[in-house]
Amino acid sequence: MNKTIQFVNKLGHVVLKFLKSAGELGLFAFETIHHCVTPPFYGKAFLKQFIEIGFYSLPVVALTTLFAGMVIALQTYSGFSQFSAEGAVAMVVLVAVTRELAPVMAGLMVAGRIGAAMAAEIGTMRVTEQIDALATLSTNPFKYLIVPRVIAGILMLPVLVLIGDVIGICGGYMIGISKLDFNASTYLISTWQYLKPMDIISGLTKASVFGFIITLLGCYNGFHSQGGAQGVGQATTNAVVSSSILILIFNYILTELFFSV
Amino acid sequence: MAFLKKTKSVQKSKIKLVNVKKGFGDKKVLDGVNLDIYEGESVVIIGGSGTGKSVTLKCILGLLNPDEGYIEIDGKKVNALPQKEQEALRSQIGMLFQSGALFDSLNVWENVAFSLLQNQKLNRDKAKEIAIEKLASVGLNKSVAEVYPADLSGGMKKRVGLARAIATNPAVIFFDEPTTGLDPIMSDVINELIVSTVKTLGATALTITHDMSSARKIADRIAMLYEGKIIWVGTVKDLDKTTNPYVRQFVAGNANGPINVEVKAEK
Ligand SMILES: Nc1ncnc2c1ncn2[C@@H]1O[C@H](COP(=O)(O)OP(=O)(O)OP(=O)(O)O)[C@@H](O)[C@H]1O
Ligand SMILES: [Mg+2]
Repeated sequence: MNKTIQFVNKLGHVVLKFLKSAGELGLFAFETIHHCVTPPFYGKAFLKQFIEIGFYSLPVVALTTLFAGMVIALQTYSGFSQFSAEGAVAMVVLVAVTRELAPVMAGLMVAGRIGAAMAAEIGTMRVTEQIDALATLSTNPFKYLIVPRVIAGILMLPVLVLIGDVIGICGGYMIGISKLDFNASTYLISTWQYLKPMDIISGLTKASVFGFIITLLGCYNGFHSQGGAQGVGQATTNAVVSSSILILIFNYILTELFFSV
Repeated sequence: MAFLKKTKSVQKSKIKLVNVKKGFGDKKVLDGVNLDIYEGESVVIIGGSGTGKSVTLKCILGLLNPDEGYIEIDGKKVNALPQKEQEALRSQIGMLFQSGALFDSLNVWENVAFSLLQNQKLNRDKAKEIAIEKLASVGLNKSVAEVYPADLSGGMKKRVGLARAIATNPAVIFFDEPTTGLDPIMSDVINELIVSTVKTLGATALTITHDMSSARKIADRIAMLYEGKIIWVGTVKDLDKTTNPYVRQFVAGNANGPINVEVKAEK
């Protein structure tokens, strides 16, 4: 009996804690958006984040989408050839890469790279009182630290995904002509034929949403970290895990919105 | 000097703390702090480690919200102000954090000139010039200007923090233990710097310190914080004459007396 009560008690605590952090995150998001549209803006901080997210994430995004495109060509070929539908490989690669693989891969990679770094940096600034110091120097921490990161995430992720689209399709193409004996020009022509703006646009929209999720959670966890090095470590883990999960959930929701008929 | 003191007593207060209470979880830290700081005077808060001196400063700055009571700066309640006005109020305050709190992504001169660059939009050459001047006034020479905070000694960080706090010539300055970690000579340089900032700029200063010789040098008035309350306020002269046993014990640095320091683990 006692055990049951204890269990229910624990459960209640967990649920309450979850609701509390969800509410806090909502407020945090709201405040961030508010500061996104009210000056002053710190130009240099923006530039730094654009480069950090857009440029330095290129190698990981390029590598992951390249191999994703390659593997999807191999897999569809081995599956579809059983139904003599090899001709569909180019289309499947195109659709899979632009709609799903490039945005999700890029999202997860950037979550690991950028989300973690943001949580660690802002978390360290929190526990060493640098965020308090910012406020005493009459600089709003939201405007100086968070807004540039979130805006850079929203704008740069689509750019990364667009590049990832091209590289992923190239990966499929390389496998198609080198291993699967497709004719290069037929492969290219059928890719071109099936290219639909909606596939690209949906992928880029997803990328923007993922960019927002990654940067928001990175900043939120860092901003609310406490208790020294261990707290910062915890914040970093939370940022990566929660943004990865949210990316996958929102990926599903957005796919429903775009493609359900 | 005596004349100054007299006019001060009729001056209006710059900062006013009224019944400020603040706790963390179950722990009560501040339990009804009342303190008036007049314009242009230098007040020193003394008190044991962990009694809430830094928390008091953070409450005044609006970085922490008091659970009860209120704080006024220039007659305006800090915590009730909208964000914009709170920022405006803070722009006339300089703060030296106990830990320095230097931005480790910026080098020393950029730290010192932070507010000049971000808020006053000075050009970089001019800002750097001012930063180097301020660094010189805390006994740091030009060569550290380009160094990053991670490569500085503890005492140097403190002094860079001090230079940053005074860089914009603020009307109110808070120093959280400005001389801890400095050698005696450097401590005296900093003491003199604080005295001269208050005198030449007419700034109002609130300093936290454990260093009694420093307190004597810079204070117009000294306040003692004990168990969440200000238990004594007076001038340096009063300090030597007081019969308050808590103050006497603290000033004498005596382990025995009414202030009990637990050095045994509780059963
Ligand atoms: N953010 C916080 N969360 C929880 N407890 C805190 C926080 N800040 C301070 N405290 C607690 O409040 C008490 C007072 O802290 P404070 O830093 O003001 O001490 P202090 O008087 O400045 O001491 P010292 O002279 O050692 O710097 C301490 O017991 C500390 O643990
Ligand atoms: Mg302190």
